[in-house]
Amino acid sequence: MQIDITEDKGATVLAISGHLDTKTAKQAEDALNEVINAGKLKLVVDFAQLEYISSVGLRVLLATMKKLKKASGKLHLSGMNPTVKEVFDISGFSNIFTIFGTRAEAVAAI
Amino acid sequence: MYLARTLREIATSLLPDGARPGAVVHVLDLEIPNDLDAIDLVNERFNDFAEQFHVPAAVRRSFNIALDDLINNVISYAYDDTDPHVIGVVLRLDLEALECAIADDGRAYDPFAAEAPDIDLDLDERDIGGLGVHLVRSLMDEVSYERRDGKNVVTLRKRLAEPGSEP
Repeated sequence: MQIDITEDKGATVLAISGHLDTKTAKQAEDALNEVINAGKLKLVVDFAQLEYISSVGLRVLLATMKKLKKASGKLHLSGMNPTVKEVFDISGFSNIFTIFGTRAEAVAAI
Repeated sequence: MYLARTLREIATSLLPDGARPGAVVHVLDLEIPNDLDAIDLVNERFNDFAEQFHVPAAVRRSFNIALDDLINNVISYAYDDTDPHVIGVVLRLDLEALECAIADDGRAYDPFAAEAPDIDLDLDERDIGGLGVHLVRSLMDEVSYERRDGKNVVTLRKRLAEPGSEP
């Protein structure tokens, strides 16, 4: 897994590539916490290069969403492949998270 | 290793008989230690296998998720001791479907007996318990659990093509 962090029109974009699972969840959680602790509270997590996410990865996103809600921040998700979208639908996470087709749309709406 | 062979044999024996006449069957047969880092090795080996035999991406990703969640559960919760254990993982591909069996010698536990989590709760009430098994059940066409010879064996099956789609 690799996470590229960029600033884009007032949003902090974390582009996650590879897979978000047992092996990589801790690394993703650390990166998200680092960004939030630096006071960046408008986040876009872009999954355009993400192959798959397991429940271990969902746990990281849930914890991040809870933190951002408490801090009046925002989290937008984008770029899901059909399997990642299916996982969000199956888990009910599609109703909890704000999901956009593309990274540009997710940034524009933040 | 006697135990490993036994686990793999048990896993293989519980896969439904897919060897129909004329069907091409490919098998990936692994044994791994009860170490969370080993899950990644399983998925790497499986990805090579899936690529070699042209498993559709959606099917491959569904098994990536299932392997991660199910083996994580075994390693994290199945054992009453801190001893090294072996987990058998067998994947079998034929022209119709991909099947997997995972066998462990942990305490008896049927992951599919648990109730599905309430996925309609809002953010503050949601937690992640039971979600992995729920994902697996939903992503696969068939799942089963059996306790055999003192081992847990979970089997999974997913068709390579969506029902009703063009061959």
